[in-house]
Amino acid sequence: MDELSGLFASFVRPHWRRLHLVARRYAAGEEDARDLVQETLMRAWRGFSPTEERTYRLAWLFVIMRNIATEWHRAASRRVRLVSSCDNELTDLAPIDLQERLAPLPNLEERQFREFLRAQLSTALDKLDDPFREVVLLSVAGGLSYRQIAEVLDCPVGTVMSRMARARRALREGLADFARQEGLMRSERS
Amino acid sequence: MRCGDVHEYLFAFLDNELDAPLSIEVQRHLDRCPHCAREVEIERAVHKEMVRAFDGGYVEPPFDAAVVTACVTENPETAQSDIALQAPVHTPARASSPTVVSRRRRWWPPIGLAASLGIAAILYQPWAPSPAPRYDRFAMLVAADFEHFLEEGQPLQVVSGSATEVAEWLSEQTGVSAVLPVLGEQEGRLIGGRRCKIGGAPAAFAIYEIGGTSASLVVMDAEGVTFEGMEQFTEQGRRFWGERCDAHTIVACRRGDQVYAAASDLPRELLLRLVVD
Repeated sequence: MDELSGLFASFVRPHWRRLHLVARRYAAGEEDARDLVQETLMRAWRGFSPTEERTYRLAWLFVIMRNIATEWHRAASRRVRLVSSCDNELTDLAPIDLQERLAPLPNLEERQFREFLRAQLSTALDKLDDPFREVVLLSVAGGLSYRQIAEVLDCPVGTVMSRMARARRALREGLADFARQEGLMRSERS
Repeated sequence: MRCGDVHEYLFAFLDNELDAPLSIEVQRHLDRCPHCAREVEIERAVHKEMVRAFDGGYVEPPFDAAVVTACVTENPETAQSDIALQAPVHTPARASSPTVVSRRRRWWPPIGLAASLGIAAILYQPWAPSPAPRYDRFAMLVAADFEHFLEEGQPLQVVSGSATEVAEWLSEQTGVSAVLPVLGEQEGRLIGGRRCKIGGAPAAFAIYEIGGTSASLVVMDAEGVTFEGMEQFTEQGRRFWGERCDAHTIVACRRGDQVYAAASDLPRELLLRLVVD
């Protein structure tokens, strides 16, 4: 392995886990997820240049991964679970007042609250619309900053901030609905 | 700042994405508004569980130098390419890369076997299976600790972007009073910290992300620490020590009766930011 490929390997290694955590959510199965990571690395290597700063960035790897997932989705060659676009940001998504209070959650003691979250959060996340789920995925699993997410999604940082706020509010709404169904809170809808 | 404003900025605040003045305003409101402070605590708990939901105890395939080697061997050209940063690709890449199709699946086990038989050992020794190395030099101890952190999938004990909060926690937990650098928005961000031991001595460990790359900062008592084997250099009139250990860059300096040491895959020039006063 020459110096350049050693440099590339050094760049990739710290992001190994994050690449897999995100790929698992883009692809529909474990094997597809691993293939997605493989394909991402191969394309990243083709474009890698030690003199080009952008090719050292984590966001760059996720841009590539997202492009591949999009290709697979369009070609219908693989099952892809999460492909969103920035295009419908303001038109299709329902308007929401970000200054409104957040949906209330049950007033439980710490351990019980944690158990409630642990039981319901995955389902609530899966129920989010794709554009919301993707920003949360890139932030939480991918470890990207808003600026990096903006680079991946090719949209302004303000859009990422807005989308993230809406995503987390929607998550709260979902959790509140579960709590009401479980009888942990009185329903506010009569 | 009113409660409505805090609701609007709440998640950006929690994600350490607000600029300092706005962040301070939000914090001031939280200090006097128990309702908003409670919302922050709830969302911190939700975020923590989200991390767990995405992580789910998942064990990724072991990083295998041969995997990367295979990529490199198959695509030796390093032509500049704008593939990565273009808008969604219109031409399916597989059609133009038959080698990709032929290697699509089931190559992990044979490549992994090849690696274990010595490809990685010959071509890239730091990742080859090897006898336990002698981590008795300071630089190697710091590098090993950083490596352990990377391989364990970030076992942080305090997750926060606030240098004050993390430093206070580390001081309580380790007895080490560290002054953690506050990076500018363009430079990077603090992720969190944990207790650690370097050579058996308690140390404060903080993890940063600089340009998307992890970098650790270890702070500990200087007693008994030597920079044996490290290269001494001067920067901004201060004396530092540096070394490359196991493919990681280590930079260290003395500050009073403490040692500050940073480890990362970043170049030395970027890593200095963490140890400079």
